[in-house]
Amino acid sequence: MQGLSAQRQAPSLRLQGGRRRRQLRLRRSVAGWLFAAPWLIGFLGFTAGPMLASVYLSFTSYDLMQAPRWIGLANFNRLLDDPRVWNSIKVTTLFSFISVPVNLLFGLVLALLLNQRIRGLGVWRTLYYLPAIVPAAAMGMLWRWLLDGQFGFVNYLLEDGLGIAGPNWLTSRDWVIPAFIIMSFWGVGVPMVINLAGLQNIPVTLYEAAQIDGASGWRKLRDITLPLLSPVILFNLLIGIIGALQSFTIFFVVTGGGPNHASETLMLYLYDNAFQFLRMGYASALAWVLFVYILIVTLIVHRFSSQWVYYESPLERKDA
Amino acid sequence: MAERVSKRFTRRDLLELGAKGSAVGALAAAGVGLSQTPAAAVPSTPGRQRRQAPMINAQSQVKLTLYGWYLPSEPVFKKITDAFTQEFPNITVDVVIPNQYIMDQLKVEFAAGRGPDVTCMNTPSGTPWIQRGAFLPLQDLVTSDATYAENLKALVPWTVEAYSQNGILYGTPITAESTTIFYNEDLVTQAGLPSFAEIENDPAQWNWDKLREYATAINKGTDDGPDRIYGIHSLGGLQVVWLNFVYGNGGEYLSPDGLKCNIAQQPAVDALKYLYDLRYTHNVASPPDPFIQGQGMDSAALFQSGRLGIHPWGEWQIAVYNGFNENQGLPFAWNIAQPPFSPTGQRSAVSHSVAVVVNKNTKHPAESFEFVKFMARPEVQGWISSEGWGSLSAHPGTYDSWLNDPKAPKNRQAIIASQAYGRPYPNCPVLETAEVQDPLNSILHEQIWYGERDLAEGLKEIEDSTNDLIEQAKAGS
Repeated sequence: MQGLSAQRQAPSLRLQGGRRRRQLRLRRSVAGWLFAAPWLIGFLGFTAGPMLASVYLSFTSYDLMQAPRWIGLANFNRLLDDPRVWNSIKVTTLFSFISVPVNLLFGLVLALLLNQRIRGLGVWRTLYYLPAIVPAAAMGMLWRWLLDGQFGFVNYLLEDGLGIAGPNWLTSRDWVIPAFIIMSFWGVGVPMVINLAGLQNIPVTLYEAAQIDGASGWRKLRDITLPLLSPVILFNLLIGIIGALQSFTIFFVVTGGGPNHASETLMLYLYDNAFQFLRMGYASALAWVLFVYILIVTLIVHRFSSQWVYYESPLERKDA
Repeated sequence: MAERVSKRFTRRDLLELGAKGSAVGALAAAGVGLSQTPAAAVPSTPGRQRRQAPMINAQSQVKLTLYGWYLPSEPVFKKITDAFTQEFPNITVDVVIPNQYIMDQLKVEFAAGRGPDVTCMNTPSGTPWIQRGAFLPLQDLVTSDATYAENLKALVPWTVEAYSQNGILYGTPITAESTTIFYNEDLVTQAGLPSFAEIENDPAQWNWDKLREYATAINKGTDDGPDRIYGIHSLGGLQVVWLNFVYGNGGEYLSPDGLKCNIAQQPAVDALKYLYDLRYTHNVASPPDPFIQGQGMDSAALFQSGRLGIHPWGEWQIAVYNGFNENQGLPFAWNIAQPPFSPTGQRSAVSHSVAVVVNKNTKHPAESFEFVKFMARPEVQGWISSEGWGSLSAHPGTYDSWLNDPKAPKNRQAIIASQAYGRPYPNCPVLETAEVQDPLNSILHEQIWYGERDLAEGLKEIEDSTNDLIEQAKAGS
C-alpha cells in the first residue's frame, strides 16, 4: 500500500517540486532585481533619461522659463558657424593631447621609482599621491596665487632663482594653456598608483630569468616591464583622455575660460550656454558634439592599441 | 539557477526596459516643459492684460515664501514680514536667504515650475527674465489701487523704469543704489590736497584733469616695492568704475533700449582711454581687478589696507567698511565724493535697483500681490534705508536716519545728490546679461585692462561682436 500510495503521490510531488523551484527562481530573480534596482533607477533617472531628454532638447530652443520650441537642426547649424565652438575644441584638444601623455610619462616614471625597495616607501607614495585628493576648487585657488603674474610665487622663484622675468601666466593668451598643463601635474598621483598596482602584478620570476640571462636594467624595462604594463598604460591613457576632454572645474575656478576665451574648454562653453546664457537647447547640442568627439578619440586609441598593448592571454587579446 | 534567471530576463529585456524607461523620462521631461504656458499666464502686451487682480481669500491661511537679498538683509525682511502678517493675519511670509548663487538657484527653480512666491531681483537678471515671462505683471495693481500708484510715484523714477517693459510694471523697487568715489582722507591730507567732499561741486577743482593730478600726488613707490601706495583704481568693472566715466563723457555702452552697443563711439573711447592711461601712461593706478570677481586681492582690499587713495565703487561698500574690525570701521579717515566732471562739464553715476517681483509659478498670486504692494509703503522703504543691508531704499523721503548716521563717511549727501544724474545699469532685453557682456568681459576686462590689447581696436571688436549677438537674438536664433 505504501508503495502504491508513493506511486500515486509521485506526480503531485513532482508538481509541487516544480512549483517550488519556480517560486524559488522567481524569489531569486526578484531579489536580484531588487539588488540591481538602486543602480537601475539611478541609471534610468539620472543618466539614460536626461541623455534622451538632451537629444530632444538639442532640437529645440529652450531657455528654462518658457516651453521648449522645436527648431530642427538649427542648433547644429549654428555650432558649425560659431567660432567659440571651434576655439573651445582647439583649447580642449591642445590641453588634452599635451597634458595626458606628459602625465602618463610622469606617472610611469614615478611608479617605477616608487616600486623600488627604499626606506620610507609608504611615506613617499602617500606624498606623491596626496595632491591628487585635493579638491579641484581648492587646487584652483592655490594655483591662482602661485601663478599670479605680479605677486605669484612661481614668478618670484623664476626671477630670484634664474633671473627670468616670468610671464603673466593666467592673463596672457600665450601662457594660459601651458599654465594649465603645469597645474595638471598635480593629478599625476592617480596614474602613478594604477601603474604601481600594475607593476606589482608582473611576476618576479620573469625578472629573475632575465637577470640570469644577463639582461640590463634598460632591457628588463623595455622587454618585460613595459609590455606587461601596457594594458594598464592603455587604461590610464583612455581614462586620462576622457577626463581631460571633459575638463571643467579647474578652468572654471582659475580663469573662467579667459583671457578672451583662450582657456575656454568645450565643457566651459557648454556650461556658459546652459546656465549663463540660458540656451539649454544649444548646450544640449554641444554636449552631443562632445560625446561624439570623445567617442571618436577613444575608438581611435583603442583601434591602434593592438599595435602596442601586449596581453598575455590570446583570448584576452582577441576580446580586446 | 543563474542561467535560468538570465534566460527569463535577458540582456535584450534589460535594454528594452531601459529604453522604455528612458523614453518615459524624456517624454515626461518634455511634457513638463510643454505644460508651462508662460505666454498665456503672463500677457506681454497691455491688450492681453488680465483686467482684475485676484482677490485674497481672508478665510484661508496662506504661507508665502520670499527670497531675500543675501545674508545682511535677513533682519530687515523679518521685520517687514512680521509687520505684513500683523496687517494680514491670514498670510505669513517665510523669509529664505539663498546663498550667493541666488540667480542660479532661481533659474533651476523656474525651470521646474517652482520657486518662491516673491523674490528679490536685480536688473541684470530681471530685465531679460521679464522678457522671458518669469514674473507676473503688476500693472493691474497700479491701475486698481490708488495708494500703491501713489507710493510708486514717490520712488526714484529710474528705479520704477528699470522694472517696467512696454509700459507694464513687473516689480516694486526697494533700493536705489549708486556709485561714488571713496577716498582715503589721511592720504589726501598727507599729499596736501583739498578734501574732495569740499570741492565736489566745483568743476574747476573737481574734474578729470584734477583727478589725475590728485592721484599722482597720492601715488607712492613702484609696483614691486613694499611700500607701494596707488593713487587711484581705474581699471575696474562696468558698474562701479568705467561706465560712470563713459556716461559722464556723453558716451554709452548700450543704447537706452538695450538693443545697440555703442562702446566704440568717440566719447566712450576717450573715457576708457583716460582710465587706461592712468595706469599705463601715468603709472598712478592699481592693477585691474581679477577677472573673476571677488577672488584674490581686489581693489577694495587694497583700499581697506590703506594702499589705495581713490577708489570708485558702489555705495553698498559703506556698510562693509563700517562693519570692519567688529564695527569699529577702517583704521584711517575716509570719505566719499560725487564723481568728477568730465571734459564735457557733465558727470554721471551708474544706478541700480533691487526690486521684489512675483514668480509666475506662485500658487498665491493675490497674497503675493498684496506683499509687493506693501513693500512700496514709505514706512517699509524707510526700514530698508535705516535697518537694511547698507543700500538706500527707492524712496528719497526715507533717507534722514541714514544721512544722520554718525559713522563714516561724513559726506553721505553725495550719494543722494548723484541720484539726480544717475543712469540705470545697462541691460539688453533679448539676451542674458552674461551673454551680451561676454565680448566686453573677454576683451576689455581680460585683455585691454591687462595691457594685452590695443584699446581702440579692442573696443571696435566689442561693439561689432555685441551688435552681432543682439541681431542674432532679435532674429530669434
